[in-house]
Amino acid sequence: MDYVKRSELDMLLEGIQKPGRYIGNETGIKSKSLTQIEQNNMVLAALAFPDVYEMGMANLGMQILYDTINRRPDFHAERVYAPWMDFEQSLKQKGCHLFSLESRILLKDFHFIGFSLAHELLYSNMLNMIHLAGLKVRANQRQGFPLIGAGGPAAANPQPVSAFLDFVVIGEAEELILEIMARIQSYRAKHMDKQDMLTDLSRLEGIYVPGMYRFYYHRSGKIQRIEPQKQVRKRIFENFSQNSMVRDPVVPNIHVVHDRLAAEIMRGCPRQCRFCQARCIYHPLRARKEKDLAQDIISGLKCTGYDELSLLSLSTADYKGLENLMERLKDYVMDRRISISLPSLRMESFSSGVEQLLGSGRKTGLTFAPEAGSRRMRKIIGKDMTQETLIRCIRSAFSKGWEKIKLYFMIGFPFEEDADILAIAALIQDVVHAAKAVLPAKRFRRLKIGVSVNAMVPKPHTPFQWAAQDSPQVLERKFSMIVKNVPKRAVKLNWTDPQKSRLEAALARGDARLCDVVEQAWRNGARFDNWTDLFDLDAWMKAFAELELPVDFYANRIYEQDEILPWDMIHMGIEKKVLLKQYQKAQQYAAEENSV
Amino acid sequence: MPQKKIRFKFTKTGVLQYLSHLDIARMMLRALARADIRAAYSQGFNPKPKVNFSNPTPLGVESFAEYADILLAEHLGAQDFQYKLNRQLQKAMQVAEAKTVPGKCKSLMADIALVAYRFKLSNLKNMDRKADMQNWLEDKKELQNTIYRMAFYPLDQNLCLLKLYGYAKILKNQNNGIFKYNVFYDYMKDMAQEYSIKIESRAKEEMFVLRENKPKTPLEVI
Repeated sequence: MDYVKRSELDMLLEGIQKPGRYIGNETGIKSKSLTQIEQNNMVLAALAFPDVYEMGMANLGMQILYDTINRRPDFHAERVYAPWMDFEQSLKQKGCHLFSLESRILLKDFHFIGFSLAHELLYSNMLNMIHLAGLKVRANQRQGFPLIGAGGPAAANPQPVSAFLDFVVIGEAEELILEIMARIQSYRAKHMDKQDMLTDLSRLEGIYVPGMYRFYYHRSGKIQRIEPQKQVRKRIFENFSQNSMVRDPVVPNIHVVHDRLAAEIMRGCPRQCRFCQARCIYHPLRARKEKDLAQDIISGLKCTGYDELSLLSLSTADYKGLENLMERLKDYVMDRRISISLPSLRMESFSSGVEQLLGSGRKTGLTFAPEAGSRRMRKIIGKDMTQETLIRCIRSAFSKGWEKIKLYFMIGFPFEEDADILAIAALIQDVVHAAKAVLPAKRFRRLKIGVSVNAMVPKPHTPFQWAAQDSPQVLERKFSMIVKNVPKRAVKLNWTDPQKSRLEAALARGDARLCDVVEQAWRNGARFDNWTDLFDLDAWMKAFAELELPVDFYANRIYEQDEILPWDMIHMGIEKKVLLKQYQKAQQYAAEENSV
Repeated sequence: MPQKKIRFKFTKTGVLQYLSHLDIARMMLRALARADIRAAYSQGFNPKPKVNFSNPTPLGVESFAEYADILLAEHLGAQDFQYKLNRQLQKAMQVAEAKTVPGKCKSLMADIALVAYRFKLSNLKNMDRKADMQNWLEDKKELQNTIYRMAFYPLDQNLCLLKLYGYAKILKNQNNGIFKYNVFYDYMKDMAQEYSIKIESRAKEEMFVLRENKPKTPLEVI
């Protein structure tokens, strides 16, 4: 087991912009000593997040798995994040391979590297990290340990990265990760061959081994058949509600996004928004009890020293015990001036009791996600909310002193018309009017409502997985319609590069042939694709062109309803026919509306 | 509510040298929260705990002398404060000394006049230490009148300690400039190369306020 010495770290960090990213030593780390690790012959897992430290530290999944593994005396997990460009250069110049944060063990000396894929635009970074670790990026060119796996939302369709991964975790890994570690322990004892290890791992529920599947294509590029037909079922962590949250998470030393205690109060979502992938991935709905949560949260705040708390779930206002939970937290939280933010608060159940409690602390921003502007469009996407409720809630938020308000919209939904786009602008205007009516003139003048507009990305395992994404040109035109029709003084518009959204759609709905594109794009220099100023469209477009695969085939095409989808071997817990029914419902509603 | 001020000195060593002033301040506030030491809060829309830190230490420099003043919202002796806080801080960041401020005192940032750095140098045979160094520094315009004092202490044949006191603020009637560590260190690296000297380590050793023109540590004057 090789590791990077302290003096070597000092050399690597010379002239590095944010060296704090690479030093570990945070409060709450659970590292065992190198001697302990070696003497007890522990199984070593590297938990890898393919984005920079400040992004990766906000990932709850990493914290959960880190805690789960390190509770075991015979297993050990360390973390690693994507090195920023300057540190990559430094590693290369000094001929040093990528290493873990805690004990600086070389990644290639771990038994298992698990990547957390939060979204598709992290694929190139994953390849880069495997390469910087001194390993071959293609799974079939690697022998023995480390086994490389991945999980998370962007592994829900593992095909575009299937050539690089030995196995993929489908679903929730809280229990599965320990089963994987235990298996690896036995493989080590038996000196098993890699092929045998993977065959054995594939027997675990929730493990997809790409090497065991073959894809056959029609001339058109569509999939003819997948062999074998056996589906991999998503792993569900049945014990979620009883299991306590991580009470002593790692607290970052440097400033990161979402720098606060995150309490996952509920998993799954009772809503059925047809574009939403999270709804399916985290299905079924499970909630934690207020009493347990209150205990865990207070001990979490004590352990970390955070002054901010965020209640996480896909739809926090649907959490039945919200008022009760707040009541239980009230004394501790108010006494210590801890502010609470509820990122996905649903306005229709935004009760005045909750508002009051929230209002007593430091006021964080409020976010509302009407997604669509017109009633018709909200009906099509399955977002049941009325404009009246929205305006009423925002009005009351303004009058209670909230001024940081953010609205989220999506454009490019199937069956969308120009009138629906104009309705978004009209809705924003109504919000501005509501603000003007409620706020004193002085405060209104300095008001800035944040409005974020994103292109709909058709995602696997959703009713809209068959829908086409609008072309970048159409998206640009629609966006400019919004820009022209909102009052610029009171609104700050944010918009994602439609080319980036298109790449995201292509990768999300891609088949195994895209592995070549991903690898080529990475070789062309693609890194940190989700970073606006680093996104290199050319690197990707060249890769698609070189491999003669058209982007629009994946991003801008309506997938046939009877087509074999690249992710058909994955069963995410909701039947394909149920999703299709939902899609057809949307279609039907749009058709009826048109005929009136 | 009874309010008490404590002034304390703490270290920032090991890999923590790679953290910025803001990072260290945030870590300290979280450690205080974990220790459940209650600070008084400022008034206003966005209340903040009343903890004030001394002048920032440059990134990549270990420090044995960071200072902070905290206004407490509870009665707590300096010793208890130090004990409770140190239990929540890691080894590389520890409170070395804490003292209750009996009366009023100037803020650290306004009062601190000198910063002392310590460099360990080896392989000095090609250099007549102080004389050479001073000659060499003479033509560096940006550093002129920014150094209060400089001294060499031989440790053994080949190892030497350079102590340097830089000005941290403009003083009356001194015609001095403010010592810029990074500028100095860049020159120092050049010089090290020129004379093939090796810089073994660098650290911030102490900070001083001036009383009747004599340097005193911030804890000595309360």
